[in-house]
Amino acid sequence: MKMGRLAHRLPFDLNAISRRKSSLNSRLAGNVTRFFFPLLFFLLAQAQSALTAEKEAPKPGPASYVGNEVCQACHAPQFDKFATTVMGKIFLHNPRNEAEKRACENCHGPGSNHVAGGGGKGVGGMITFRKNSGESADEQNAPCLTCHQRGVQTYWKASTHANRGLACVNCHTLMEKTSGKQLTKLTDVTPFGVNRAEIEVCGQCHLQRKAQLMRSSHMPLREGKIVCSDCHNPHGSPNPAQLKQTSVNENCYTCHAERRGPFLWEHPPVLEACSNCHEPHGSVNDRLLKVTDPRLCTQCHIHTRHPATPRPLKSLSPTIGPSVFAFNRSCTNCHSQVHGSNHPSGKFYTR
Amino acid sequence: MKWKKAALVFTLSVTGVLSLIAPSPAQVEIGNYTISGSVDVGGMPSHRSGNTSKLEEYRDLPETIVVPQLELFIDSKKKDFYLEFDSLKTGRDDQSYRLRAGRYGLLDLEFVWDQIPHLFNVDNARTPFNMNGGSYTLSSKPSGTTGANIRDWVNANAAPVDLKLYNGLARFNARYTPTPGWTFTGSYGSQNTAGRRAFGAYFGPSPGSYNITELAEPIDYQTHNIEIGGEYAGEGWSLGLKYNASLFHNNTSTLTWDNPLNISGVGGACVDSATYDQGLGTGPCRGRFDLYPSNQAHSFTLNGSASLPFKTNFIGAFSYGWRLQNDQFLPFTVNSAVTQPSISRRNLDGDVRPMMANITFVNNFFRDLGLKTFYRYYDFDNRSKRVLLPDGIIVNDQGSASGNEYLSFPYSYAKQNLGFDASYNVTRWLTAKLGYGWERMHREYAREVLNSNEHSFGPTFDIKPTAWTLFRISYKRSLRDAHDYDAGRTAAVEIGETPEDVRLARLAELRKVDEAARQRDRFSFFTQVSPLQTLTLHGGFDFTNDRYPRSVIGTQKDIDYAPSIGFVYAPLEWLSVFGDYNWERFDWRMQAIARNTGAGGCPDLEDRTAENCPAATWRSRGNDEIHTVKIGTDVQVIKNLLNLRFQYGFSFGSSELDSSGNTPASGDTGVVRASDYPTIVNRWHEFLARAEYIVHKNVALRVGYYFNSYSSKDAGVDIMRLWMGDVETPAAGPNFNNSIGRSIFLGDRGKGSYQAHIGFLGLRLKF
Repeated sequence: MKMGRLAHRLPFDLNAISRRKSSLNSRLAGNVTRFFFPLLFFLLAQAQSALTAEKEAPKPGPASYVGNEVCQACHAPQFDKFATTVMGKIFLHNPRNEAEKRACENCHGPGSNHVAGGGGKGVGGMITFRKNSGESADEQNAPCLTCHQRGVQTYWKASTHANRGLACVNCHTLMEKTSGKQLTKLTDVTPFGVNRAEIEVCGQCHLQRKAQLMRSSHMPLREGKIVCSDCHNPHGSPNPAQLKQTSVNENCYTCHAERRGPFLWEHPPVLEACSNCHEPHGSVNDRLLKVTDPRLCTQCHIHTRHPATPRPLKSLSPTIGPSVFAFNRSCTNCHSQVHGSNHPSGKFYTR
Repeated sequence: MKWKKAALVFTLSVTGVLSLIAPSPAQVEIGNYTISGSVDVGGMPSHRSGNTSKLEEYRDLPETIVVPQLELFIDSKKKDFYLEFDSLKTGRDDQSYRLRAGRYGLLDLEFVWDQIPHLFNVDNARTPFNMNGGSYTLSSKPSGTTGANIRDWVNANAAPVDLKLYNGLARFNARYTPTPGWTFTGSYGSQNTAGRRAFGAYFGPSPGSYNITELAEPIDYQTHNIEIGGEYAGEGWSLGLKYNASLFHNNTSTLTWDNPLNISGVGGACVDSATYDQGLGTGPCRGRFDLYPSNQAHSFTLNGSASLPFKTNFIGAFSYGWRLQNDQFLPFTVNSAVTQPSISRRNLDGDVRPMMANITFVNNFFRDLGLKTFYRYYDFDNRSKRVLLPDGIIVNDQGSASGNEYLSFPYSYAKQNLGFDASYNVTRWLTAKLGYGWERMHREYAREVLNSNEHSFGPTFDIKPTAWTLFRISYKRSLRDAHDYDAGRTAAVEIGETPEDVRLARLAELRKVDEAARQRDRFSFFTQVSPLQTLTLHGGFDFTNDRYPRSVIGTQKDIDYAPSIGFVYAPLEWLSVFGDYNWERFDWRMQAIARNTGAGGCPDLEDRTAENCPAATWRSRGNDEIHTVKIGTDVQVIKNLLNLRFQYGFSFGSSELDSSGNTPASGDTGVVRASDYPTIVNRWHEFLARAEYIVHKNVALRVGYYFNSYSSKDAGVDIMRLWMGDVETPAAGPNFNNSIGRSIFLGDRGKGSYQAHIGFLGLRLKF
């Protein structure tokens, strides 16, 4: 059959040539659809960008710094609010270098053109941080990054959030004293609970995670005892899921150090990632388990002995009791040392 | 209790002083310092029904006077020095304090004390044991070994036990920035976790006897965390070095508990026997656990960044650490009638060296094109000694050494990641990104797959056509191989066992879920639209579809999808309304083969497949479904005078598990047909109404009402009783061990339903 097909493909076969032509045509048509339209789209976009640039008003000469007093004269309410923040107190009263002395203009840029233009929104090329100011996230972040690109912010430029075009001001506000980390939301304290600003800020985009905190099995985030940044560094990290520690388990060990081991009898999947079995953001199953017991264990342990039997929770027969393999702690009714055992007889995690 | 009283006295004193100064201006000036702050104080009458464990799982809601919040700020008039103090829930079990002081831009010192309660069950757990540290003894034993004997004895002797933990965390942080370039940080933290939580303990050989004695595990952990670091940031570069230490000590490292089923006597009168016989009541007098061993971890981390030519940034990190554990091994058994087998070492000399190295380059040379590439290597290098157990082990403190020669397996693995991202600003409102990632997992000893590779790729679009609309869309496809899956690789654990032996004892078609070949599709969508200045709508959809194409036996599919919608609407200056709804569904599917032969018979285990053994093949499907709602409104009824908030939250979760297959052959009573489990359901409601009436610019009257209810239905837990024998009538039945009738449980899992109505009437004083 193969030879037959090859023979038909000889270039001397007119039918084959004709078939190839039509195939070529259809491929060309496909290529047009695949490449031409995106290319056209790209060129149009570039043209639009060029036209926009042409329409921009001619830029005045380079601006110079005018000093805080000038800013304060027109923006007194904002100035007074800023003065109550930690950054305001450093810039306005305890500057450590020339940049910090510039205070307002350190972030908003030199203001002479703005002043000369009579002030107002968009006048004089000031950098603004409003949502609708037209500046890109990179432009808005640049003033922040001149100082804040080390420590927890070292990985910012490589972070997922930077990559997705987030601006610092999407989460932080600087012009008035808010929460500890100058977040855009406030921590809400009632006698019944504490709603942390940070969880609200992260929850603006991470809708699924925010909902998971409301599950019956959860860590004390919704009670305000821990926050997202206890595990994650939103400014980026070299670790998966922007975790603060080098592995999922290292993160968990910061509170659960007892499970760190090493143990005589290790349970390898546990050692690789706690998240193999647990959903840390909240679960409908007890103990933050990802899957209902005993099926969680039988995802792997079904090759021999008792796990291979499909244990019912409770027989329909009135003379048969509940199955020890399925109720209560299920497998961990007996194998309670499932995180690892240091007992010489603990090979099966029962001691 | 002394500290609680002291805290209460302190709070009342502070409150008294503050009350006196409350009518004064909202700021007090003393010498060169300005003092301001606020305090909330009030009472919380409540009416509750049902169990309180879940209500107060991580919080303390007392029916007494409370100080929800206390804040104090001291600023020097020169604005160079500050001191801040705040506390939450002063004097309560979930209290926290924070004291922070320093000089702006130079020194920052912080002290934090935080308590986190964790209640498992304080309503209905009971135990017959006298608990003293790590020694659990019985004052009496059952008069016989029948179910009735044990039932009567347990019911007569069990006393309530609170299953709860308290975490106390103290932390001191210091940050010193002598110049804008240099930063030095240091911190010390101490965490104490104490209390009890339930865990399973078990006597008897397996299979044959499942005599569980659920215990309240004694917990008394102390962890010290130390961190010291320094960093210098110059023009376009930074370099930092950090040292971390975590020292964990378990103050109760062993647990010995009396065996209630050895009825030969109590305490010293009990006679150890190597032969476990649940009918005669013989066996070990005690069992012994080695609880989590004390351990330490140390690590050094070096990280830095540098700006390179062509608008390239380099960021890198290197971390090297030690995890050490050297607890003395316990003897194999506490049973004096059993000959102790031999062991090659007295301790593990546990030594793991985790190492991480990362280099990342980010390039923005072209105006609209962003490039990123990174490489990461993580090595979990387990250098713990291999321990030889030549005679085998003693299972559950009875019998004799198993006779199998064992060698422990210090499990190691290494993970490499490589990634490329390119993002292009197609227009000002559209950024398109294409990413590729590679992950290689290398495992040693005791795992089936030596090397696996996962390739991920997919586009991302961030679309911002106007200042008031945002769409984020991403898709990623990941393909993980597991070509060298071989059960024989786990043979290293047992000497004398060959890889072929292990292969013969496994189902050839089984693929363990965390190692199996996998195809993953991930899609994520998020949008935020503000059509009006007063209205913001948001929504999202997260979808993950995992398929395990080569797992004929094992997990075959996982699908998770979670759409969410929400809004914030502030039509009037004095009114805002908000709402969120999320629905999540998680589906999974697995297939297994039972060890019985089923109808029609099956080949031996090693040759058994789902195809040639359909009668014993069974399938299971599960789905978790959760609805979460949150709505509320803020109303400023009279500006600067009366504020109201109403908020309602609701979560409904269900977990369904269906199974089918494993058909019994005619007359084969040893086969259990796979069956469904009753659905787990839980509901949680929360309603909050609060009003703040500003009596004076420094004084506000606060009134609140809080309703919270929880109910759950979980057949695996709801049937739990202190003693299980009389829940059903145990009888000899296939695959149900009638010895379950002799097991003793704490009865703790039933986190019962509750309803709570709690009020709050209090004052907020500003000064």
